[in-house]
Amino acid sequence: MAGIIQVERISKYYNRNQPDEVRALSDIHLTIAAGEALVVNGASGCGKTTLLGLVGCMSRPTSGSVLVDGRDVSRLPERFLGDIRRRTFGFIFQQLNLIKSISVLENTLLPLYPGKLSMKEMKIRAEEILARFDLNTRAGEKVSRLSGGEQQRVAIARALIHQPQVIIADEPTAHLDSVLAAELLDILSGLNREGKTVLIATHDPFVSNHSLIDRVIRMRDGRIID
Amino acid sequence: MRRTKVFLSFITFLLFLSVFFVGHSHHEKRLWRQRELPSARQLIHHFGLTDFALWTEARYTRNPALADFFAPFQDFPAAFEHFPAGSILAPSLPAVDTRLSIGRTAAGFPQ
Amino acid sequence: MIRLLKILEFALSSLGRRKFKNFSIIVVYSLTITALASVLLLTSSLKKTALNVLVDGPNIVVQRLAGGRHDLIPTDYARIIEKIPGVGRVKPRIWGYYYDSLYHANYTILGIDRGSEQFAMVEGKTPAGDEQCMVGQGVAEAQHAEPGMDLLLINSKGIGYSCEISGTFKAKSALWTNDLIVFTTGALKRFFTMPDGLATDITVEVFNAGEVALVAQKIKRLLPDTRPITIDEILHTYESIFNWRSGMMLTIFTSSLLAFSILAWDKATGISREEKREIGILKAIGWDTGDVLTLKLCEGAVISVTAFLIGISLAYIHVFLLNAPLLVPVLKGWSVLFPRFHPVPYIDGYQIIILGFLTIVPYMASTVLPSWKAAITDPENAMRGV
Repeated sequence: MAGIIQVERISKYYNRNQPDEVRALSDIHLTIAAGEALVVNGASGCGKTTLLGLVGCMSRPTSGSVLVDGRDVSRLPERFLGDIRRRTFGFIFQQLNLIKSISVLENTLLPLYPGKLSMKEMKIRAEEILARFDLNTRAGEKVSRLSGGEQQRVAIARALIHQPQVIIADEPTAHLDSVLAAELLDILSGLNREGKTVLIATHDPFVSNHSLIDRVIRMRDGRIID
Repeated sequence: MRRTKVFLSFITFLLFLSVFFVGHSHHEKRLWRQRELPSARQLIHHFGLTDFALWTEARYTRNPALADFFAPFQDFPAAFEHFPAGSILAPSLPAVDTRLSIGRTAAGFPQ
Repeated sequence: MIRLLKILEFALSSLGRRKFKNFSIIVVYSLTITALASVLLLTSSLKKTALNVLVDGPNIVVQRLAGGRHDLIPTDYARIIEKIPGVGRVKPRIWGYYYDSLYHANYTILGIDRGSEQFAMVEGKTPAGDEQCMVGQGVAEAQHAEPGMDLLLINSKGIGYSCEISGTFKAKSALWTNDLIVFTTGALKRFFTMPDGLATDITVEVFNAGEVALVAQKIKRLLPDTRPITIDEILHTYESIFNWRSGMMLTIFTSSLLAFSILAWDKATGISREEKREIGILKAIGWDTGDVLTLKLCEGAVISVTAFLIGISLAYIHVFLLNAPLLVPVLKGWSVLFPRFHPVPYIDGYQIIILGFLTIVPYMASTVLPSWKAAITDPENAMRGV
């Protein structure tokens, strides 16, 4: 069955052919259908973040291919991948990767700068999405002044502002209490119902067992075991 | 786009200032050519002046256009440095056509 | 265009996050440009002024050399030179230098025909007789003298000569006349105790400007112990004194460029971990390599273009509106008599463009190039600082 994302026999090594070589992934096959909500489960260090990074075009596999809408992106030059990331993926990082010294609004706007929207249209979209996450009153504040949960919401807003087809979230509930975690999963459920594909890496059973999730795959030592 | 507007306005102001200075330069040059240049040239012509009266410490700094090549080297050994003229003024070389060229006669004496 | 303006907006935001550092860079950069441009503008002005004014000087000045030294020239040589076709008025001149031990100043003393003439740049008149003289502004100030007062000079034999000041050169002509004392030729000859039949040099008028070099060659052939100096050589002297490739310009230019290179090198030797991480984040959220490099280019351009325009403007104001108060002491150095002058605002556009090229381009390169590696790296590696 054709899917939006296909991962074919990918392996990923860090420091290849060096004394400190690390095998992060080995011979991974995965097909993710459009509109699917998938959890990648496993202990720390099993390769979940690496797999999500490869799927989201953040890095390249050492061998194998990643196909997005039938197109092999793993061998594309870096200068073409920015456009693919911007059009297809919304990434919520485990470390959030917000720029702490700029405001909530500016962080949220970041993905839209290279695009075709005018500044006015960008601001309208940002204000709408910040309102959706109850952040519109904090729009002018520096991110460094926000709580962990609020920063998480900014990261989500930034990931969604350019209306991506695929949302990739790496340990999204790591900084959240149970109430906020439930809120986050409700948001992701809503997005999934709109037709967005959701891919989550987590070892939190609350996420794996949520009604949003269509499928759970388990990883250990860089391989899919289940 | 507030920052961009402020920045571009500032750069536009600086560019207009540059244009103003170019205009000012043209205006001042024109006035100088009309008012002062003729009388300056008259002085130069009547008094036979050949140099600026900028550095008056030595003859080769006062009249660099007329100084011969060896003039800077004729000061006595403990002569003071002339600052900054000594650093700025290179000894003037005579034109090729007015250098003395020496030929030999058949008898071997210089012509 | 809209994309460029948006990225510029973000670049300005990025620069604003390091306000103090970037403001300091703009200040230092602007001051460097101001120093360089001030020297360029002042030397360009002096050069053009010299070329415009000196063109009416003597067509040829004939000196005599003896043993490689400048020596007095027989006035008979004028008779020989007069016979060269194309030559007009030939005039032996008497002039020289005088050291005023009281004021530690050197004056240039010039002899002219008696005349009692008036000139626009002279207050009073030229000497009507041997008991009169004219002085430049610098001499008048040093001696606290005015027209009507007496000037006392002592010659090499210890004999004092007193003369009435018939006129002074106006301040506007100070650049040419600041240290001048003008006597009649006869009076000056007696003052210098110059023997009859000798002069300091001879000026030659040539009817056809195109034949000056030819006449100079002929003079050299006819009088091998002379050194004819043509008007072109005189003008060339001033072209090369204030040329950017020599002397003052080279000294100040080189040291300023070196200072500027240190600034650019400091930037070029690498970007911080934080900046690398930021580039990685931008790439991860959808910026491509071109967008990141455009951002860095904008950051470099904002600083360098702003500093350049500020520097150029300050240089113009400094040199042409304020009479170069910071540069004139450098030019003056240890001079005792230095003319006050108002530089004519000649701008050499070519030099300004070269200056811009030599400063803006390296600075922008030093901003873009260190970011290049991070810009072409995978976001994951960039964020990890690899």
